Amino acid sequence: MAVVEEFRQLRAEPGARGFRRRTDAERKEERAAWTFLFPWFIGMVLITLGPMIASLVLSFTDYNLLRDPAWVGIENYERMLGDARLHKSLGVTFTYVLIGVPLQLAAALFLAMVLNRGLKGLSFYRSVYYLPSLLGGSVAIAVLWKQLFGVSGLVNQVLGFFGVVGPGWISNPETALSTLILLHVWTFGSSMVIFLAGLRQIPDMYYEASAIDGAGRWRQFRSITIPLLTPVIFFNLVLQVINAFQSFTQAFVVSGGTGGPVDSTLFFTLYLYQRGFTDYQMGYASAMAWLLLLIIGALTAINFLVSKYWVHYDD
Amino acid sequence: MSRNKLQWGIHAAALVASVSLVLAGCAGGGEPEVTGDGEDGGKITLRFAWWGSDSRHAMTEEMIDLFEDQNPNITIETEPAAWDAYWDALATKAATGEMPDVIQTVDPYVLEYGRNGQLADLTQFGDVLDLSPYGEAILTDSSEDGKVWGVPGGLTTYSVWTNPDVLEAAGVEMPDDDTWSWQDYAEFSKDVSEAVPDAVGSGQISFYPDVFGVFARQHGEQIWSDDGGLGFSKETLVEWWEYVADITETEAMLSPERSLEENTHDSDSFAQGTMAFKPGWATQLGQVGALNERADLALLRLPGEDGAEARGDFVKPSMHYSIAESSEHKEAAAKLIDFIVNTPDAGEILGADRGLPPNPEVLAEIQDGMGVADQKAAAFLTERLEEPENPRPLPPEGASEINAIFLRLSQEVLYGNLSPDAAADQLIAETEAAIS
Repeated sequence: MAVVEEFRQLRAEPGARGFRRRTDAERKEERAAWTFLFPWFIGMVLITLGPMIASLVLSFTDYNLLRDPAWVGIENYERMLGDARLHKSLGVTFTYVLIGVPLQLAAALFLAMVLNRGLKGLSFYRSVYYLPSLLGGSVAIAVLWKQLFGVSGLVNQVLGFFGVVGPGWISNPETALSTLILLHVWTFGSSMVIFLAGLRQIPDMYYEASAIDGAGRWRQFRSITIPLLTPVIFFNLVLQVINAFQSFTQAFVVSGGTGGPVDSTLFFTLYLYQRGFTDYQMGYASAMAWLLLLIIGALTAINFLVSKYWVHYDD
Repeated sequence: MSRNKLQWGIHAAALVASVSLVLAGCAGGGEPEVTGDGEDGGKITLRFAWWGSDSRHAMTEEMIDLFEDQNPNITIETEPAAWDAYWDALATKAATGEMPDVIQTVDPYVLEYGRNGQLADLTQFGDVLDLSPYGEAILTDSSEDGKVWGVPGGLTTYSVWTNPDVLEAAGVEMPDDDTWSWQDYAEFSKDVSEAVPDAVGSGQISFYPDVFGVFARQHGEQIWSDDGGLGFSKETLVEWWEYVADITETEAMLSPERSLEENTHDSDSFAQGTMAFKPGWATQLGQVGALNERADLALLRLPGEDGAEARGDFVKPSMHYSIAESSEHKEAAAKLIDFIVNTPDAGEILGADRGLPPNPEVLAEIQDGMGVADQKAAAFLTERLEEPENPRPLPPEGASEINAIFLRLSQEVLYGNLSPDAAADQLIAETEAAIS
């Protein structure tokens, strides 16, 4: 939320920063900011940057954890080209992201709009709907999901009530990934909260003026809400795409670590984990981590490039 | 200007977030560092790690208390874990030279760690760790070139857990396991599935390579060859998968969907009393719980031994105890292992939880006090031990990968995605790549 505020503020005073001389108070504030950030920087260097460099180096080695790494040049990267399971895992991950993220954002926007209509007890509903996104990545929910969608789980019991015999949703290669996508959609809460904040910043007068001109609900949604909300949609999109690419826990728990049945839930991160910790091919796993970084980086860059055409920063 | 800045801000934040998450995954598995394992005033602290269930943790802690009572100068720090987490953490600890002094291992990992110089040769401790109760055959899985990297913590063998009540309900007589064929197994299973509503004849036999291993050995082959390659022919594997696909088709065997969901011994169809045959390790029969009291469960040999080219089944250690090469207190570690495997005191507490005690003296002392299921396992195992052996060649490096490959391709066959022929080609190619 703070980011969205920042977002607005930056647009409200173009060029305000960087040119004007800072006042004493501002300089003090800046010092305080750096002080507060300092512990984060230490963590960043020790816990993130160090292992990152190590993994970059390891990605050019053959390393089984038990013996010293042996330099193999770009062999790991070459091997990825011919690794059928890696290609399969990319397919699974892209399917998950390309279907899951838009659906999740749509659900988030829809509920944000419902909640934005001056409902009584708003903060209660907001919390309730936010809960899944706190829980969604957890082991407990993945276990629950496994039960719900089992052969004789709750979902099939309900279907059975209507005379439908459902399959074992998570143990059938045709449907397993869909249940994980559904789980992802269900974690719409964090995007929803950001959408809610965005919706509240749209001045009422636009709606009033358009209503006088005879615009209906749908027209208002398409011509006022969506355009004014595009920066927030974009922000959510970028974050959720990055987030979804790194999903791991759900697939790990639901498939018991195998990515099965028959690799239908083999997320990229899960395959990376298998290579690193089951097969002890840490060099290859490191190379895979860097491939994922490149993919996410490239997609984020594309997202930013494309955003020029649909995100409106109109002031 | 500000917009650019903002974009860069988000961009940077996004990159950082992604990088840190990805790499946190790579660097994960960290365990709190254990310090103070040095000697002060003659006191020694040993770290002991094992995997297992809660009940095993409790038994092991009790056994350790007894050891500490008898050896006041040694303190044991325990590191119990679940199977998956155990191996993740052990690999990471090995990489940083922080392996616990005493670790529970299993084949083929014990060989992989040993060949990579991570485990101490146990022959060096003489009387402190007495290896004389263990014959060469029993130490095969954990030794190479005269070095012994693990002492067995228990023995076990593959069997067919059988529920006589379900057979009776189906009007099927208890099979004669000295003579039954794979065809008999398929037919009996089918009879059960057809005759008893909600019951199924056989549990899944092809998610793990164990039963196939017996099948291949009965064909005069092995999983691994003597020179460290694959030891079975494509024809045998195709024949196996065709058999498995047929028996699944007739619904004589639990469907792949349900097999995937029923992966615990204590709550699956067999434990519910709605399954006649379930292939499993003989010493784990006790894990099905209450059914042991309701039904007089039997342990049968796997089919196909009669008239086979060579003996298929075999007795093997279910797990081993090893000492880390990096340990500073190997002698004390050896003393702990000797206590665990060679004294009836420890044997009595541990029972057959890790498999039957491989030391015959310990087994003789504790046998009468064991539970019903364990006693059945002991009797079954004793019979198997009396038969002439068909030795198994050592698995090559990378051999553990075959488990995951076999599981995945078995599923491809059972879900009908791949023909047995295509799946066999793929298994051979993938496994050969893993061990090369």
